[in-house]
Amino acid sequence: MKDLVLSWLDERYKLSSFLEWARHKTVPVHRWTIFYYTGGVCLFLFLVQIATGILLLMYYRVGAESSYESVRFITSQVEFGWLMRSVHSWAANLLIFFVLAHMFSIFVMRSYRSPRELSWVTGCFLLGLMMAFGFSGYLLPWNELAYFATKVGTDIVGQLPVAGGWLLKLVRGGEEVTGATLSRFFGLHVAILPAAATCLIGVHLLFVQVQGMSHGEDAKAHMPFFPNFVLRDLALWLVALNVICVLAVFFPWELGLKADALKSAPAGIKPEWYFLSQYQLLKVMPARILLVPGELWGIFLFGAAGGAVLLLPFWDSLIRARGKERWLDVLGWGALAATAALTVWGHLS
Amino acid sequence: MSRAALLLLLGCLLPHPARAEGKNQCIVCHAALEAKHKAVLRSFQQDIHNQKGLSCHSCHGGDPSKADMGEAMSPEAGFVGAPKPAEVPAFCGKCHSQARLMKRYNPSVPVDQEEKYWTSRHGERLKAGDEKVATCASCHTAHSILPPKDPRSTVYAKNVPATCGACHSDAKRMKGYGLPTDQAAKYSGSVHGKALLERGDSAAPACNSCHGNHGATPPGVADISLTCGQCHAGNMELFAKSPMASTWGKKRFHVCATCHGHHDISHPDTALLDGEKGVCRKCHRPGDPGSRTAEEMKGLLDGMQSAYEAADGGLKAAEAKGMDVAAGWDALQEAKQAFFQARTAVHSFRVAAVQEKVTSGLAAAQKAAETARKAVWEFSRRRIGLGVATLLITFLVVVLCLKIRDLES
Repeated sequence: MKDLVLSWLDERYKLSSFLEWARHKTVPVHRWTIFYYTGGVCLFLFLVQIATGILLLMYYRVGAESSYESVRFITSQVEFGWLMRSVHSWAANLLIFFVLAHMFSIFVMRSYRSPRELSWVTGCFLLGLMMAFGFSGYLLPWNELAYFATKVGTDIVGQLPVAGGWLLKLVRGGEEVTGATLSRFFGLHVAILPAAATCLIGVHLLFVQVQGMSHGEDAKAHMPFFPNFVLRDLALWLVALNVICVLAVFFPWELGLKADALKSAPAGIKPEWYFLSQYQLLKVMPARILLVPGELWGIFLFGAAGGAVLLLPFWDSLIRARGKERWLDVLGWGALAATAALTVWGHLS
Repeated sequence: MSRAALLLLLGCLLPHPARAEGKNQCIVCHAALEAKHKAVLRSFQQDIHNQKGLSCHSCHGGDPSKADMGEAMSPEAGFVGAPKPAEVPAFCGKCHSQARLMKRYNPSVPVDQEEKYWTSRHGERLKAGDEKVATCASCHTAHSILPPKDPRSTVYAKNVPATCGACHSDAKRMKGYGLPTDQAAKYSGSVHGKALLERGDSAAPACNSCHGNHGATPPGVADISLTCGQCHAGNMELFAKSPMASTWGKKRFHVCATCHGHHDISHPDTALLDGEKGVCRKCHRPGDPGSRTAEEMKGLLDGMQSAYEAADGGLKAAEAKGMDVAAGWDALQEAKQAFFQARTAVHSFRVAAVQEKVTSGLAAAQKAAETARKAVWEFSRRRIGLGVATLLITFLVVVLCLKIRDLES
């Protein structure tokens, strides 16, 4: 029966050529092989987000008068609703952490270099998409913290010269954070971003499959992708699932109070950890530097840093040509240390 | 000419407020006098009259444009000087009693203060020649007058007890009036005083809420329930319909004050209904129908209090475990509301009326307790579920590891 189905599929879709390719696909074994798994964990967490997101979507009702109430209903009345919400929130944070870890491991291994420049670029865009997922999803429960964090976050957009005011209205759907902002963020979170992320992940994986894993040519040994690497990946995914479940049960994601635009912002309001370094930098910037508002310098700094990271494979060759490979390490580890320090500072202040 | 010098010259040419209306000689001369005159000028700077554009001569008359003291402070110039205590109400009333004039400054400000004052105990005694009693300036100050909504004002709600207490707590000053001097101290420890002075609840009553502002007078026996009933309307209505009302009227008991006291009104709890130490013992003997009614009502209220506290503790415990018990808090709020209504129903002196409210409150408290219990059970279920899931996942991981080892061996 199995053979019958396989031959039926093979006739139509050339399944044997795919299976042949899979049978011969290998993964290089070297001291950095463990970093390969970070990409797999990212994929797994993204799938968890899709699955839990669909389940939450069955009960979530967007609107300033219904979002908070529906999330409260999910967490208190729907069977395992609390688990879905907590898993969705924890997995979102872990996803961004692992995307960052994956990117940094690629940087350390210098795997972004030719011919894998576009794998790096698509990865950078994926990080941006994941952060956009985090920012838009944070508002959806329409609670006090989310409301004010979104207000502060979108205020930054308004600081941009020339198009700032227009962009602010575009993002918020008006002058203030209202139900219109919520609808926009919802549309972005459940339709536009998932479609964009799915396409980009597909392209990213296609690049990896076409070009193979990095350092394959230097490795002394290789392991078969099917089943050896996949089984290892699967074991790690199971461990990740267990970690998320433990976090969801022991540290369930709080809902807090419903957003109220007339209330003053709660004391010590902060964005999520992955935006904390940028937020802290903007906070400590002087009011004006050379007649230009400090916040604008901060935004320029983020933009420049983001651009530099995105184009890393293209300017990296200039440094290599001068024989200053060490500069890259200093830059990378320095940026990581500065971001971590700003994050801790932001958390404590 | 440099730009700075030009600006300086232009600044000198601009009209100074004093220069624009001519120098105010009252200020010029009084600023050169001894400290107490300077202090008056300093305090007048923040006075509401100064803020509205009035000055010394607006109240005291005279001509502030004259540098000569004789001319400036001459009766021909309308100078009236500082009024004697007996003259103060009319002195302030010459503006404050005129609706047409006052609405220019504040359309909602009342203009009956002077009229009311003369009906007050202070006004009556002043008319009788007692110049020690309070007049306008005693409460509002003479030259630092601020609107009552300004927290710096002596008549701001939170400052009223101290303002009244400045005279009424002064045993020496009050000697001869036959009045106690512990009202302010008693008030501070009362349920109203704590709400206003400690919690800053500006809705809580101060002295003037019961005694009146400008027509200040102690409420008479018949007026007390009306005074308290301004805020405690439900209690007043129930008492008025109760069989106690006519009896107390005949005996000339102070309606609310007989049980709750005057200035030292404590937080009303069920101890008031206690058969041995409660207020009912003032008239009732143990075992008589009145005492039995009080005991029954106390039992009902105590039972409800226990149920409320148990549910409250349960919900807090569940919340401390990270559980969402919003529905429980809603139910407990219902119980709290019923509890208030049950305590109010005590004023009907009918056990059935209290029982009715207690029954609905108990049902709400039980609902809240049930929510808490379910949440705690759910908390345990989650942990058990996590344990089972962890075992299952660990088993699968071990199986996968064994399979990998098998593949690679």
